Amino acid sequence: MDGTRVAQPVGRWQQLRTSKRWQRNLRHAGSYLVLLAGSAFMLFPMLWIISASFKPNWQIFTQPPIWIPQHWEEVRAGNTNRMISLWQVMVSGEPQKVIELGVRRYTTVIDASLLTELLIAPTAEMGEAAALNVNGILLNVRDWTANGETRQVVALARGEGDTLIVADAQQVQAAAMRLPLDEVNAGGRAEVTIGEEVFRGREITLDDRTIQVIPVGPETQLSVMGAPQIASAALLVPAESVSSAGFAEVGDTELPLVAVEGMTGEYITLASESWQPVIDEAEFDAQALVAARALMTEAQPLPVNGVVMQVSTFTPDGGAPVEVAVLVSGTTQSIVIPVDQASTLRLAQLGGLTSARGDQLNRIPFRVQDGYSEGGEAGQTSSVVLVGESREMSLVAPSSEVSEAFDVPPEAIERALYTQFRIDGYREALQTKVGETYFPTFFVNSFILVVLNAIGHVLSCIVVAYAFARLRAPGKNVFFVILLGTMMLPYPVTLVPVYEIFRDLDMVNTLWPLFIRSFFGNAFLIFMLRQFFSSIPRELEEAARIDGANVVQIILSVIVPLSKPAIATVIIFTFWWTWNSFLEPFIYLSSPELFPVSVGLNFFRDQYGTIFYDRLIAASVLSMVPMIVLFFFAQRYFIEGIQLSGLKG
Amino acid sequence: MLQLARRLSLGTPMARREAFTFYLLILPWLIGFVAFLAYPMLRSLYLSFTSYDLLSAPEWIGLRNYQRIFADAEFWQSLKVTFLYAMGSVPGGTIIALALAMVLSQNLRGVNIWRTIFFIPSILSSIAVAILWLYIFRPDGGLLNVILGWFGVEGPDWLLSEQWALPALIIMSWWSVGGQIVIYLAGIKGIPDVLYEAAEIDGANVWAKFRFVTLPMLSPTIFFNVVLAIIGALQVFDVGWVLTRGGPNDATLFYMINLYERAFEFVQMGYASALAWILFVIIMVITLLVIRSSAAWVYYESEAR
Repeated sequence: MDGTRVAQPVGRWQQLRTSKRWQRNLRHAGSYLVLLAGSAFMLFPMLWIISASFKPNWQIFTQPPIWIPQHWEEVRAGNTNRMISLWQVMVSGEPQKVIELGVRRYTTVIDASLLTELLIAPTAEMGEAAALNVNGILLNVRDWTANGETRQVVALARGEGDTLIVADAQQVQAAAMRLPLDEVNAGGRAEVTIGEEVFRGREITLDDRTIQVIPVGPETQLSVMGAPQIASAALLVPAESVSSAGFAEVGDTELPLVAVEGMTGEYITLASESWQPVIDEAEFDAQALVAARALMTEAQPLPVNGVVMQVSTFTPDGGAPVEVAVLVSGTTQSIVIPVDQASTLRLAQLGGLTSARGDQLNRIPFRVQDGYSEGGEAGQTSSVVLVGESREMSLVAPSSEVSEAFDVPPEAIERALYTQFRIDGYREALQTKVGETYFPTFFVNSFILVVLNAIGHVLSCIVVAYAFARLRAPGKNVFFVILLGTMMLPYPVTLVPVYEIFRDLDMVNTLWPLFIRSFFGNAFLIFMLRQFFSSIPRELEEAARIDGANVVQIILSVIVPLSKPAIATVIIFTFWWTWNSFLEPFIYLSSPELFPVSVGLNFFRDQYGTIFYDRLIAASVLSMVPMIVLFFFAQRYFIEGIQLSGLKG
Repeated sequence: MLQLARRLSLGTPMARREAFTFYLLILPWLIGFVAFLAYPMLRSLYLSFTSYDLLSAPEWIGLRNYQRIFADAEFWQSLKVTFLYAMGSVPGGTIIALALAMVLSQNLRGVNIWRTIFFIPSILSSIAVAILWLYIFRPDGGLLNVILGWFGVEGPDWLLSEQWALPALIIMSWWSVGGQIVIYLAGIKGIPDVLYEAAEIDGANVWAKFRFVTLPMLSPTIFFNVVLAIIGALQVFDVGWVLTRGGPNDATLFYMINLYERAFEFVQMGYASALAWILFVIIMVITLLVIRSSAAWVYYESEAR
């Protein structure tokens, strides 16, 4: 072939060479493209889930997606532990950080005096309504086609029969205005007559003149935003002390104002929600005591550490009276704490206490929230006991602070974010109660099973493999074929009777069924070890045999030291199978405290899969970590074992 | 000397001692085989002809379980679902694994890194993987529909949709073909260079080399792995259980999910044993069919010599 090439003219030869190189480059480019596509398919889900595990719950399924974990900028509301989220809005071209003060609903009304001509249109001739927005005024405009002519109209009401009372869109537009819904609703009801039709409208006062209007919807909702400083002036007050003080113009908008009992001035309400008094579990355990109700005086609501609690005087038998706050009241006994010892008593938002577990002290039940974290970046988490009654509280800010409030459409604001890898998902995943236990228990169980299975497999497979590799006996080949055959045997066919066996042995809901069989060997591992042992020269055993060593001694002193890689592979495969096995532990175990990671993860998902995405994702990433670490330390054994398992035929 | 002595002494006390040692050493496996495999198989065959709820003794009912199974729409649905799954996951996975292994075999840079990337998904527990894909398949905000959205495609509801749940599980199964990639890669590396050189001299291009050298030389490996993959796909349980519980409306009712529910939720052990034996027979028949057909497409070196 070279000969013919040399014989060709130089120009042609070069051409050929360049074309060959070009071909090869093209082929390489194609190869890398395939590899990139393949690894995108393999890696993207992994990277996505790892990134998601560092995100707060709300950020995982946003549209458009947030790829890198972000944290929502927040400000603390006054002296409370309530955090208020910051939003970003463009104000005259500059991004500005603001907090949301509320929403404002607007509606479109028409001034009845400006509308003169009404028409009756059969419904059949009307097109679909489309929202038309002109200068912030929204109208539902429809096409009305009659006699081959199409005109745009706005429906005002239903007419008789299957008709609509409509008006020309242009005319309606001229008469329409946008008003706050509250303001319109505040006006008295009025019967508005236009031509011969009577509408239900409102009579409102606008700029000192009274007009009759007909609401023609649709309503729009705008967010009222204000400067973050408002949050720092916020106060938490009991909801029942708040009363309405009407609407007032605030900044560029109007807001409902409230008066607060016992305080001067007017306020706006930032939030109204349920708050729950809580106390650190550590303090609860150390300071709380059980008091017979008979030894306590009538309880009075009094502030304890800033939280209003039921307080009474408790006189223990032969002791001095102490002032105590009732934490949990039972029928004859209550759990109380001396007032001056309750230093961690505080209010927590009830919404943050969704996964509380039950506990009891002297058979008085109470609830505990594990992994409760209070806002802020360095949010400490603790276990807190829910004490006393939850109460409605309002977060209010003085209206004097709210001078710069303004309205924006919801689509014009976006969350004020900064990049932060948040490990709370992991911490909370580990601290969340699943069944009667916690996630680390599953890891411990899995590791126990891994160790027991590895011991079983190493002990049994080595001796069996040695017998198949070295010893001769009648029937050996038959047994070897059976051994190979069992590798491909479908497991379902033995599922029920094996369950029956372990049930008869009283081993259901114990770890026994999940490791004891490994002490009887495993076909694939025996086969693998046998292949390895067969490659060890027999001569190495002769010396030991001449010294009078028995089989066990030969295995221990000659075979095992030479087979470390193969034994490592046995351990690694055992780790792999045990860590990932699901169906068997799922069938045999019913107590969560025995679950291995795989079943525990499934259990976790059943309990929290639709609430705490972040925790479940963090938990599943955690469950992957041991396998990935093992893989990187023992990649060679993995690859070689896999190759052996598949390179037959 | 010792070899010779041993060969001469078959049937001698020494050989008898060796045989005794052999049986002593394989005893653990032998016990395990009898107790946890042979006996359970026979037992489940017997149970399949009984009505058994684990509490009272099995009651012989002849072929009634089988009659009920064949009249049960759920059984046929589960069979259909399982076969569709195998037909999607096995060929698709094999093609993906072969293609990636072929590309990786070309002495490119960083083969080990690529191989690691492809392999890692296959070592992860099916439950963690299922949870991962549960969120990827989420209709709103799930990764897959977000990516489809970039191309202007409005993704389906995937796991919530009767039509798309099974395809979703099939796509998911392709994610874990790393083991096969490793096997095929080793197989390709094992093909002697001489064959490629000969093909090159004959003027073979890349495709011809793949078609006439790689594929025939690799066919025993492909064959073996396809058989294993089919057996595995017919027994799949974990992903279906975690992701869809067989739903929506039985659209992903895998054979094993049906069996599990019969055995461990309705405690119809006889019925479940019959299901297990039907699956066993199906798997044996398919394996035999594939082996019989293998003569047509598997190339064994020994035949040509």
